[in-house]
Amino acid sequence: MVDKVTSHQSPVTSKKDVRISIRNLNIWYANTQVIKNVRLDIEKNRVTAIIGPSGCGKSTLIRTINRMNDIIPDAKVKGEILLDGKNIYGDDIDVVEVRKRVGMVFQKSNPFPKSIFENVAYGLKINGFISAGGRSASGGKKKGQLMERVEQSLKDAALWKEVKDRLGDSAFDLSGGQQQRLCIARALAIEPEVVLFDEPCSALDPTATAKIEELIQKLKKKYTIIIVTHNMQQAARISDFCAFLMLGELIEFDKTDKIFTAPSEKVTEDYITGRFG
Amino acid sequence: MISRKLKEYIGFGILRLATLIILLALFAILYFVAVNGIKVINWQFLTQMPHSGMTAGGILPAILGTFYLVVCAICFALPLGVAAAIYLTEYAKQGKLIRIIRIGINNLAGVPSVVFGLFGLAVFVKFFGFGISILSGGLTLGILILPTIIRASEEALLVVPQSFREASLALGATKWQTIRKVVLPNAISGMLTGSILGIGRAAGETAPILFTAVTFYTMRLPRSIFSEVQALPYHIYALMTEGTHPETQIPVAYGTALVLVFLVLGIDSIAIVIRNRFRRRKKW
Ligand SMILES: Nc1ncnc2c1ncn2[C@@H]1O[C@H](COP(=O)(O)OP(=O)(O)OP(=O)(O)O)[C@@H](O)[C@H]1O
Ligand SMILES: [Mg+2]
Repeated sequence: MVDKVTSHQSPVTSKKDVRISIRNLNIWYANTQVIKNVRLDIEKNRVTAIIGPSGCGKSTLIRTINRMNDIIPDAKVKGEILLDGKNIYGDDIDVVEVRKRVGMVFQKSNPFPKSIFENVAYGLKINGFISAGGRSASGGKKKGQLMERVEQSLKDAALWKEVKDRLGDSAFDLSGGQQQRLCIARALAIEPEVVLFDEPCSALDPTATAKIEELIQKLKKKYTIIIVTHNMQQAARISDFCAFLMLGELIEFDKTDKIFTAPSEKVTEDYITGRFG
Repeated sequence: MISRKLKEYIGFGILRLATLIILLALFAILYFVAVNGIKVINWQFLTQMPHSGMTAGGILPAILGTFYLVVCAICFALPLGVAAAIYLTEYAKQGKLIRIIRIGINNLAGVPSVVFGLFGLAVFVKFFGFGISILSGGLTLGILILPTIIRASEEALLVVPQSFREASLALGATKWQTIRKVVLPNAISGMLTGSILGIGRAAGETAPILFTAVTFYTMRLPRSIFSEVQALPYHIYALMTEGTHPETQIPVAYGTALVLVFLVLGIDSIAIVIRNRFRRRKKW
């Protein structure tokens, strides 16, 4: 139906704005290969969506970008992921540093069994922020900023108004959508450069989903965003670029408009029009 | 239809009967001990030194002795057991070696307690030269309950949702920070509950302290961890098997048994209180 692009690896992103560059990435669980030679460039301050049928490796792919696959005992990663030009799988890389720069919001909201405030403050405290009056190991240089940062993060996650009078309540007293936004606030608090979302709305109703979509639109001014989603409309609404993954292979990667109006591959079209998967 | 109902009736009947028998046995034991022991229990019995060849006076040295032994066992076994459990579940690469270690620990739990007693005698009393003492007995009891503590702690760690760990790591926390700030606070109640139940059991053990800590009779209360002590379970054993005045010794033995039973029940109820308090807060 349209002119067929000979290689999906053609640069659709402009070279100078690339924040993350995935090169020849292969991933195995034990002996099963689930990601096959994927190449993908992620542009900064844009939303890149990853779509594809269940089990095609979307979560696996996105989790490698902040090395969360390290904690799966028999996962093996080969290839490169360049974050601002530096391979995060290189030998001289501090994994903890990578995760501070690349935040993650999980499919199922997973607040800590602590208060709302403590949830957002957790990452800050680990990074040496302390509450007014407290003392930190790093000499108290960030004293007193904790409250401001918690407030700012909750505002960024569009949750502040709903929780400002109950910061001491348990995070489990919040609704599902609020819990997910709390997890977003928690991820934003440490000011990462990239935020990964793995199906952040899969457990939410349309209203809560709309809120989070709106939020992601706003966040891209400050952050680079990668989102896995099962929802085609969602991908079409919020993303600038879209990657279609199937059986561990990157079938097509392009501007979202192009993918949804004139996909180069037949399978992509079949998938987004719901003819399978 | 009738037969199915009948089957169900019989099935539940059997289960109910089994429960009833267990309860009955429990109450029979408690009743038996209480009826025979209550006669000698009074304030003096709990707070005074024995005299007249154990047939009169109190059992304070035995109560204190058991208390010291248990405290010593906890101080030794709880940190060690918890640390081992953290290592085994959180750090160690799960593989053949760890499986073998786990099997070893589980088998340790099945070793007869008198064997621990012999071990304690050979290692703590003789080899380390601690002598017959609170220290030797406490360490032996500690080793006895170590498998219980490790297993309880491992189970407590495993029920902490993996998503908590992921959330923490994804925020740039190190593994140790994650364990200290997220995993342990959520596992500590389970660890304590399981461990305390194990400790309750240790308090009533005779064999492990037989060769390592106890003496039938001392005039003095223990002055240091190198003192030998009297202990409740051994006191009962001694009253029933030694001495020359069984008619006066036997009631004292039952009184001691009653004290021991209440001590163990007391320790166990601490565990239950801790568990309930934490369970109310837990919501995942
Ligand atoms: N920890 C693991 N160990 C072994 N195999 C795994 C593990 N996690 C995922 N897999 C397998 O890897 C493949 C890709 O899984 P992944 O979770 O990345 O898929 P997905 O695209 O995110 O699917 P979904 O849309 O259902 O979330 C699947 O076949 C899955 O069974
Ligand atoms: Mg997934």
